Formats: sequence, structure tokens, C-alpha cells
Amino acid sequence: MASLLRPDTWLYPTGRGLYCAPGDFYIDPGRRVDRAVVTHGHGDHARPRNVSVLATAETIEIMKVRYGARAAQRFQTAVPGEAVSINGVTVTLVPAGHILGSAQAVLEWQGQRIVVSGDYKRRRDPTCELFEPVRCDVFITEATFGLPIFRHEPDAREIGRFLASCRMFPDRTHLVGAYGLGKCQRFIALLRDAGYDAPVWLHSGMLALCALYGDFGIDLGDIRPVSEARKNDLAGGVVIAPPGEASGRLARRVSDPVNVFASGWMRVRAHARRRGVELPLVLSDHADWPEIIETVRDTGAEEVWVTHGREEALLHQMTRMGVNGRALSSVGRDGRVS
Amino acid sequence: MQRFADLADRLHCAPHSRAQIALISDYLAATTDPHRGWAIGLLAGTLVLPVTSRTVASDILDGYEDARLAEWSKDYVGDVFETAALLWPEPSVSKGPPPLDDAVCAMLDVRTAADLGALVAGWMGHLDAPGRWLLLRIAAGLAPVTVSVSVVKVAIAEFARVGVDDIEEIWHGLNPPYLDLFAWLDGHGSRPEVQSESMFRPFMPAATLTGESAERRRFDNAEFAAEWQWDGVRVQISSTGGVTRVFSRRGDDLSTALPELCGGAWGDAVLDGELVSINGPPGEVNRRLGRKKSSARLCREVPVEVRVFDILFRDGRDLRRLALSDRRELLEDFMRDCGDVPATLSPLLDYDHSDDLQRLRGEARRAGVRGLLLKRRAGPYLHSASAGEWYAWPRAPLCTRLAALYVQRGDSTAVGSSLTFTLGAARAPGAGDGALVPVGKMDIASDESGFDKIEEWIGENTQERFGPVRSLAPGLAFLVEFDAVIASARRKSGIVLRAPRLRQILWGESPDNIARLDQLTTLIDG
Repeated sequence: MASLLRPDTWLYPTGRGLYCAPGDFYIDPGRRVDRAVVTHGHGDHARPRNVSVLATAETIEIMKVRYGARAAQRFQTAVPGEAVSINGVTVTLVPAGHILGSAQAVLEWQGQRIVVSGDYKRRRDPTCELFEPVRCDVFITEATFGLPIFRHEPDAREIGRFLASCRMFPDRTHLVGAYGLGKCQRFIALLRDAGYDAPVWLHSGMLALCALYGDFGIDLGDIRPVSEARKNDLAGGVVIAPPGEASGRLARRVSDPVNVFASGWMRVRAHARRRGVELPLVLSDHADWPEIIETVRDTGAEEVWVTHGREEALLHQMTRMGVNGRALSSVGRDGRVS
Repeated sequence: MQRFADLADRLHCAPHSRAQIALISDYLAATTDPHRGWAIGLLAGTLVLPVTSRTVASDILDGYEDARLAEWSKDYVGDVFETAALLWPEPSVSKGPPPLDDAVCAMLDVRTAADLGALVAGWMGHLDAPGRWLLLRIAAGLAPVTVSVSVVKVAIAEFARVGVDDIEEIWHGLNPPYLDLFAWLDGHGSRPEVQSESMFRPFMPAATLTGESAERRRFDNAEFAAEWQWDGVRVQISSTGGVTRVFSRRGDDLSTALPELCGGAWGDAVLDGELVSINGPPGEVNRRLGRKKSSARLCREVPVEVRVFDILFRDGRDLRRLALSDRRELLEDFMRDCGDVPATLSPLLDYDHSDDLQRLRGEARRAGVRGLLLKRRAGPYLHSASAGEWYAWPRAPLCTRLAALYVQRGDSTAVGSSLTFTLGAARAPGAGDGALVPVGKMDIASDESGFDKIEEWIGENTQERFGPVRSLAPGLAFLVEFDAVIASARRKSGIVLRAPRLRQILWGESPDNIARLDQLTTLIDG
């Protein structure tokens, strides 16, 4: 890969988002653009009102559910693993293992390959395809959990702790705070895998996305809106709600709930205590520290650009590994006006 | 050990004592001896290791593969013990952690900090992250988690379906790993005979009367004896064989903090009374508690005595089944006969009917007492709440208007959630909003009318968040009832309100109507 081409001359961050200059498109733009490649459906990656969007079929449907008619003017479905050419730049979406439909964007131009991983994780998830490492020259990684203290526990262990708590407090409602897209469905799927077959009660905002998961063949079992529950139904039951809702009004509808929060942040118990979480579950859709390092190795990248999260420690780690690490925010800042 | 680590982890995040009790009693039911007894000893702080070391955790950080990563991690987590536990590599293949019994026994045998460090390092690779954290805390001589001893006792009682008093009575005579206790609770042995002299006996509680319920009830001197409710701390003097110990209401041993009481010539008796400061304001007595020792100087500065009002044992004879009137006679005899002790007899108040009681209650604040106690003359000394025996009738509360400064979601209770408000008084007349200063905290439960409106208002008027605490924009005030104003040097305002309670929510109250600090300060007791 002894290309003389500097990668940051053809892919760099701008005010609208990460921009691929020869292809004239953005990846996960933060503001409205003409041509966008969207890695997955979370709100900080998939924004409404772009003109044309390339994404996986799942991501497109998620955007339609969330944004309706304003999702985008035109959608182009990318089949994972199949290359698409945009103005001479080859774009391939490859599973990222983050949530349903999530993908890495593999960009190739003039013999150079850059992988924009988006958000990703390496462990198996019943609700999405497993991450596939791609050899590349430049790997762009998230650093959400960019400190060596962050190591997520095995899913089965955390679900086991959850079910043990349900048995120990058979009269209290377990009120789970989880993001409505991805974590919610994965949590239910893990519960079902562990043999939990009672109804799971959901905050109304989560139902449409769960139905969509069903359309893509992910069976979540008996799920019901919590608004239809009578008080007796909830005693000893499981309710899932977005993190904000879980501590607010809903918390008062159920008497003496066990507040559960499923997130990689829960690894640090002080976080759990600060948020009033009684049962912290270390369950994340993002790569933990060992996974990030393993992935950098798997890609064989000589250069790694680090974005959202704790860049400092991860960049230090890249140096220790002999990899050229840069904060994505600093990429392309040397002279070019964008 | 892993099971105890799981328990400690859950206790660490448990929102209220009921959850803690359920967790501990569940653990006791699922765990065998002697492991569970060691666990109880660690939770209650009765198990003391001969060698402890706080450097085990920092040594782990120092030895981490990269100093900067360790430093960043510590800055992020905050706690050295937790950081070390999180950084330690996850076990790849593990034979599992040692049973708690093995671990405790090994630590009890350790003679040097270096040996302890080696022992801990050997176990670290077999524990998960919460387990490693627990181990490092234990090795440092810290409590595994903060749990009150009374929660531990209630949990034992609930696990074994016995009264907590049955545990309290023998608790001070038992030691970890509590094999005799659990043998009895499991039905394999008799109740442990506690050899310890001067043991704790559970207190008789009094039900609190509210203003209305007291007025509806007719008290009559022939049936109910009346006493002042002294403003101090309830204590039990337990003296046998020349050894005197003083216990708090929860059964904590206060003896070392109260040398003048333990040195008294009490003879052989168990007495119930209220510890009060002789000259100073009521709050002073607390300066004598919560410490391991009282210096001679402190004893001089804050002299204390006990207002004795009941006798439970005399010369080995259990008097608790006797009627109060009979116990009272024996108590008066005892106080006449006993030697030099820092105690006085709490007098009975003379009254004919309820109107007299009203009048006495009206005098309570001037008399420097908290109110009246009414006790059924024919009743025995019971150690559980029983209707119709003892009543506390607090003096009429004071009342003032205070602003809401901060709010925090309180512990949820069986009836629902609550909000805890920090109440503010005005520093100077006519000063701006910034001049409010905290004078106390008050809970409002979700069953209070207007709670929903308050929650909504908070959502729209939060200014800043400090963890779980929110600072509020001006506009919410309360009419607050409180028992007293206590001087408190460590608070910015110099005072704190005792037992504040909501009387009324005030919307749009003018800042000029908020109580002024200088007015409140004039109400300080004593």
C-alpha cells in the first residue's frame, strides 16, 4: 500500500460531516446534504431531510419509521458486501454489529482503502449481523469506551443477573432504561434467548421500531404497550422505557420499581449510583477497549482516526502499538479550507 | 466469595433499606455456614482484620502496564479501589474465587501488609470486577458497602422469621462467624446464652400523636401517667457485676464516649432514660456521641446526665412483665438506694384530664422539652410497637414561609416516590434571590396533593444540575412546620430546622414574605 496519496486529501471532516471529496458525498452528515451515506439509524448518524441517501435496507426502513416523509428525498439500498460507485469512489457497506442494519462504509479510491466503521461492536448480537473486519489503509474508529477500564461483561452474565433480580424481587417491577433503537430490541432478544417468555411491557415510543425488527425476522415474543397494562400486570414484570422516561412519570406509575439501566457506562458503579440505578447492567452496543484494540489489529491499518469519545487515551494506545493515530477532528486541518 | 461480592454489589446500588434487607436475607437463605456469618461480620463491621493495607490498590495502579492510561482511568473513575478493580485483567481461565471462609481465615492469619498484598493478588485473577473491588476494600479495612447495623439485624430476623428484638438481645454477646446464632435460627440449636454482662435489651417504643388524634383521645390520670419528653438521646444503662454499658436506641454501644456514666455506681440494673446535656442547648448532647472517646475536656464542656424513667431489670430479676406503676415504684426505690450516678428521676406530671395536658403541652417549649409522654399505667415493658401503651405527644410546631432552593429525588418508599427540597431563608430584608441561604431539608411524598404540579414546575424551572441535585429558579415556596431551630456551626446559615414538614405549597409567594435568617436565629433552643 505504498501509495503516495495522502488519505486526508480525499476524506476529511467538514462542518456538515465527514466528506469524501472525489465522490462528493458525506458520511453520516450532521446537517442536510445532497448525497449522504448513512451507516446506521441512530439519530446522531441518520438525520432527516437529506436529498439522497445510500444505506442498508434495514437502515432505510428505520429512517422511514423515525422520520416519515421527511426521511430523505431518495433512498438507494446498498446490499452488504456489494460495491457501489459514486463518482468514481467505490463504496461498500459491510456489517458493523452495532444495531439492526448497521454498517461500516468501506471507501476505495485510487488504490487506497479507508474504512469508516461508524459505531460497532464485536460480540454476537441476536438482532444484527456480526462485525466483519476489513483490511484497510486507514481505519476510523469510535472511542466511546476509550479507556482500559471499559470491558463489557458477557451478555449472558448480565442477563443472568437481571433474571436473578426478577426472582429475588417478585413483587417489584423491573423498569429498564434502554435506548429505543437497538438496545431495547437486543435486550428483549437476550431475555427470550434466556428463556424469559412473559410479556415485556414497552414505552409507546418503542413499539413501531420493535414491529420493524419483527418485519426483518427478529421475533421479540410477547411485547405490549405499557399504557395498556393494569397495575397488577406490572408487579413483578419487565418494563422497558427510554432512559429519560424510566426515571420520570413512568417510574411513578409502578410502585417501588427496580431501576435497571443497560449500558457500557454501568461498568463504573459510581455512574450507576449517581443516576439512581439499582441494577446496573454492563450491556453495550459499542466496542469496549479490548475490542477496539483487537479491531485496529484486525484491519491492519497503518493509520487510525479516532472520533467521538475519549480520543486522548486511545491515541496514546495507538502510539504504544506503533500505529499512526489521529483525532478525526484534527484530520485535514493543515491548510485546506473546507 | 463471589456470592458475597454479588451481594455487596447489589447493596452498593440499593435505593432503600428495604431493598438492602431483602438482599441480605436472600443471601443468608442461600448461603451456608460459616460463609454467611463472615459476611455478616464484614457488613456489620464486627469482623476486624489484624492487618489491613490501603496501598494494595494503589500498588496495582502503579504496576499497570502504562502509567498514563492508569492515571487517566483513575481520574475518570475517581475511586482508587474501583479503578484498580476495573483495570485488573479479566480472568481467562479461573478455578473460581476462594470460598469466603477460606479467604477470611487466611486474612485473619496474616501478619504483615506484604503477605496481605500477596494473598489479595493471588485471588484477584479469580474474581469479577465487583468482586475485585470488594476484596480491595476489605483488605484496606473499609466496610464492603455502607449498611447500617440495624439493617443487618433486621435482615437476619426476616431471614429466620424471628423478631428483630430476639436478635438485638443477644447480638452484643456474639461474634463472627455467628455459628451459634445460625444454628439456633436454623433450628439445630438452642438460643445462644449470652454470657456477656450488661447486655442490650430492646427499647419500648412510643407512638407519636398528631395534634388532632391527641385531641380526640381522652386521657385520664388514673389510666395514663404523663411525663415530659426530654430533649436528648434515648439511652439504656445496663449494669451488672460492676460493668456498665450505655446503648443507643439501635443497640449501638456508646460506653466509651460516656465515661462518666460507665463510672457510676449503678449496682445491678437495666434502666431506660434520656441522655441530656445539663447546661447547654439540647443539640449539645450530640457532641458527646458519634465518637470513640470523649476527652476530659469535652466531658467538662458538655456535661451530661440521664433522666431515668423506667427500670427493666434489678438484681437479675426481669421486671418487664410488671405493670408500669409497679416498675415506677421499684425505679423510685432504686434511685433512692443507688450510689452516686449522673442521673435524675424523670418526674411524673400532675394532671386531671385532657385539658390539663393541653396546658402542659403548651408549656413544653418554654420548659425546654420536646413534648409529653403518656404511658398506660397497667402496661408491661414491651419491645415492639403496641397500640394503646405509650404515646409521644410533641409540642406544637413552629411555622414559617421558606423558599425552595434545590431539589433531589428522594428514596422511593412503599407508597411511591418523594422529593427532597432544600429550604432557604432570606439573609437580609429586601435582599435579592441570591441572598437565600439553606436552613434545612424537607421531603414531600408523591401522595401529597399538588405533587404532580410541583414535578411539572421543577421540569420547567431547573437551573443547574449537580448529579442528582437540581437548583431551582425562584417561584416555589412552602409554609413549613418545624419542631425547633438548632444551632449548627458547620452550616453556612449557622442553623438547621429540626423535623420540617410541609403544611402548604405556596405558588408565586413574594420574596419579601420568605422568613429571614435573623428571625429564625432568635428561635434557637436554649
